[in-house]
Amino acid sequence: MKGWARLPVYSVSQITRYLKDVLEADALLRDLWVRGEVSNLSHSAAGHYYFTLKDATNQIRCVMFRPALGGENLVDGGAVAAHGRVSLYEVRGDLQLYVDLVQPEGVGERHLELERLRVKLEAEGLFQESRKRPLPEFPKRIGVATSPFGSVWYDIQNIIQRRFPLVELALAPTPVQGDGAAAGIVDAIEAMNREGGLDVVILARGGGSLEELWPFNEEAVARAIYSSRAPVVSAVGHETDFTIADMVADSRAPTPSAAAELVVPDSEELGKRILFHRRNLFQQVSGNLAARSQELDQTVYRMQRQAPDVPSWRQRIDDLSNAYRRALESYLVMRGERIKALESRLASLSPNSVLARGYAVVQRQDDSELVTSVSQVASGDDLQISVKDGIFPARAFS
Amino acid sequence: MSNAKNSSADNNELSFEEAYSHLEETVHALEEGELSLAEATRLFEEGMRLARICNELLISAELKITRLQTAFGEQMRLLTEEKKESAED
Repeated sequence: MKGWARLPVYSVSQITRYLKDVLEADALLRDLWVRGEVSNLSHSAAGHYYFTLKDATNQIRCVMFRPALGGENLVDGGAVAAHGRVSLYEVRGDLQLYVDLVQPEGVGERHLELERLRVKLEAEGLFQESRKRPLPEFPKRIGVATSPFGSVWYDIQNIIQRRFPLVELALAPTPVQGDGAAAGIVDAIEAMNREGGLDVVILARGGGSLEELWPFNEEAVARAIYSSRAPVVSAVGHETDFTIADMVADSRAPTPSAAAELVVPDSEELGKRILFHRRNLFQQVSGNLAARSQELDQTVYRMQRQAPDVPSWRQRIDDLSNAYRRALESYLVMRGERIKALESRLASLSPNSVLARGYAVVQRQDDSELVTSVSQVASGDDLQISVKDGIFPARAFS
Repeated sequence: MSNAKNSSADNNELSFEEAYSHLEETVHALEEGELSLAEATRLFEEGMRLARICNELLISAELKITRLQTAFGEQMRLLTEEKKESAED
């Protein structure tokens, strides 16, 4: 009885506090999946779920606070797997499972684990769209993390050789299935980070079972992809396979061949674009030339309209000179006729016509002076007498 | 002659990406218009030269392949060397 008395006495709060600490220090209880049947489900106005998980004989109280995932999987009597941690609700002294994720039961353990990792990495922001980097349009160096054996590496080389051979492919060899695969992929991505200068990285493997693709769902691989210096294109398995690696990668391709097509442009398409540019260049310049040539034509036309019309002036000069010549000719003709008229008038006034009527003209022989008076003539002077038909000499006497 | 030399030197210096983006810029500048005839002709010749460089780069390119060193790559290399040695022995 004495021993009893020596034991310390605790308050309820001290004990609940202690229990809570013990529970929360336990590694198993901190992070675990519990499967069971849902009962006593209630959904609070605040969006939290309260329920009990039970099996044939036992049960545990559960609470799931908003915004945990998978609340839609909760129905009374339904079989689920709940992920969370075990702790104590001190106010009531209730031991509870604090649930953050509920999956319908019947899903394999791998899927449960996959879902758990997905939720965790998503919460850390590894899948955020805003973090996804764009792929370069014209990469120069492309890193490829895959197995050096098998068709994936071969297909990638072939497609890039055909589409855009202006690049260097840097292979980082890694196993892509089996125990060493996750570590190998991490090592390959680290090798590419060390190498540097890569514009884009392809992480690829061919199709396989969920188990074969498993390395691409490992947390270490997800974090390595996240740490890659170059944007990562994941191409794991077939189109329907979706791995954690696909979610972290900057781009996801449905197959390795599709990844090769995604990272480089198609040189045939580029050739068409170059041809289009050349035609455009030609059209721009010939259009420019045509416009200039039309401008020039118009300017020349305007200039020609402004310039003197030489042929018409020449014709006008011709016309004028013809008119002048005609005027001159008719003037000359007219003059000629007047001269004839004057001549005939002159003829009529000539002494000859008087002589014809019987008069005679007397001139002195020595000085041809016309004799019009007797005083001009002395006896013995030689005279010249003109009559109608000739001249005869005569001598004065008295 | 000196022109031809210059342009082939440029070919070596220009990457496809550079040549192609210059080509796009040149076409764009021509489309903008309002250029002197001399300037337009110069741009045209430059554009045609860049288009030719792009085509030559595309046609003459050979895919280059290198291998980065990884733990797995090293293992494979050592394994093949061992096989060779044992075959020689």
